[in-house]
Amino acid sequence: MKKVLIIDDEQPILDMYSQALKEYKISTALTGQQGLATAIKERPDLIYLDIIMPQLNGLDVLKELKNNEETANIPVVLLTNLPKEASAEKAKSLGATDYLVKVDFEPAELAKKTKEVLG
Amino acid sequence: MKKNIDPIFIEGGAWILIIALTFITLFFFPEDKAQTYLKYLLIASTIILLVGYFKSRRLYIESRLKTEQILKDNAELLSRQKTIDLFFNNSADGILILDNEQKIISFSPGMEKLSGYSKDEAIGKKAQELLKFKGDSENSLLPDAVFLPKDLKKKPYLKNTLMTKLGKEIDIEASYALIDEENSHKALAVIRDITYENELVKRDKEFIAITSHQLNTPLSIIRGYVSLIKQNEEKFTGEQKKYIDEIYGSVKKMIALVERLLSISRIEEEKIKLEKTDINVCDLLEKLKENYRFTDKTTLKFEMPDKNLIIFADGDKLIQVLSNVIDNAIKYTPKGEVVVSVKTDQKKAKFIVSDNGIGIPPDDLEKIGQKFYRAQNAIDIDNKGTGLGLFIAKTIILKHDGKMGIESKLGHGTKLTIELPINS
Repeated sequence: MKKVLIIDDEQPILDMYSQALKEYKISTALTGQQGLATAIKERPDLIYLDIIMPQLNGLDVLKELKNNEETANIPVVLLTNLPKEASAEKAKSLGATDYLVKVDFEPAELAKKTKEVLG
Repeated sequence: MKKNIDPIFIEGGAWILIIALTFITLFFFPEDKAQTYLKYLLIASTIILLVGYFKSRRLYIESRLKTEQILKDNAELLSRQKTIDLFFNNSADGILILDNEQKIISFSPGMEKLSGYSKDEAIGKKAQELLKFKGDSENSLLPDAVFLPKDLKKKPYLKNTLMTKLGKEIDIEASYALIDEENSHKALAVIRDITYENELVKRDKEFIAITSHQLNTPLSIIRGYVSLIKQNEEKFTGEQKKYIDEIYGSVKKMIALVERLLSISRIEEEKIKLEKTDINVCDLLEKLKENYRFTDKTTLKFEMPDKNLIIFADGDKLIQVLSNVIDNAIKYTPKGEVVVSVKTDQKKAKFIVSDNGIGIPPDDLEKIGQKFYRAQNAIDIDNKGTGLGLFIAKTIILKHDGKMGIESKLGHGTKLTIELPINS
């Protein structure tokens, strides 16, 4: 079973996406630091990452993930409510696979997207 | 070469000739003959005198006019100079004049205030030695291009962060003009402090980011959970299903409203960016159709085009445009039908949204699509609209190099067309 890690500081978001992606093994993290630790420990096949989070924001987490040999190859999809023009270019330059705006994606559509990325 | 003889010599020569002839007449001719000749000489002298008088009068008038003109020109020059001095001394923007070695030859009080350097400190110094930019900027204050008129169009101004004498960083915008003189070139530079403007733009961006995050986070949670509930809707009663559909419909409306408000801020910042890709029009309309699956009261029909029709456009933005147009059509067609169709030729795709609703009064027709504008009969039906939907739609269409047209007959309906280039 493929593993998906979701990093977001909103518990309802984590629960909602976990429910939608139940055909995968889901790990969740409520902070950037926790997310980094889980990524190193569990080596997921895909990471969904929020941007605005306290202490360590998503772009910093992305930078750390891509700088770490152990996690550099894991596809990271930013899943945020920041409009694309705010951070999409930066996220792509840091190595993000995609940039999705949460409000445009219903859980079922996210399941479809996950299938696309994981092949 | 023919030489022009000065008239004064002709006149002088004539007088010498008359005096000589008078002496000859007096001393060498008999008295009776001399008297006759003297008469002729007197007439000749009178003519020469008169010609001389009128000529000198004309010269006097001409020189007086010339003097008056010179005085007038001087007064005008003086007044112009005064205006320039007033402008130079009172402009809040900094003004510099540099010679062709980029040495400062004029330094306005505005420039003193902006940079912290006094005029005395600045005059004679090279601009790039006195005025430093933040970091290792390659830009000198004056781009070399200013002295190369052919390149002037390319770099008429620059933006940078200037370090003041006290080490404060200020954002500046500099514009230039070349003063082309016979033997040398000078450049006029006008430097504007845009720190405050930049701060406002930054605050605006932060506002957009915060608003979208703060509003969209709870909205995405509601939307997501309602959609999860709807996956099991067979378990609910008809009434429960209806309530869930109402929540789902309302949250989507609210998401669209937030998106509209954010679009306005982006338009005002001219920050709308298109992410164009090849879009299959049928797929796009199917996605759109899905958004209206709970629409009732009005029948919304989609006439699908050729399955292979592809256009190069920003799909998300196009859905936003068509949603705004369809929402309007539905809202103002209380009883009737809204039809979405697409016509194409080799170069263009024409999306047509037609309805047989209330129509638009002729006087309002040309104002439709202006920001916040709403026709009176639209306000009568729904007083909560923002008047932003078609404004945003029009802006996005123009950004695609497309056109939006509207035809309407009051009481009979409206036909809105969106024409987009297939391969822009």
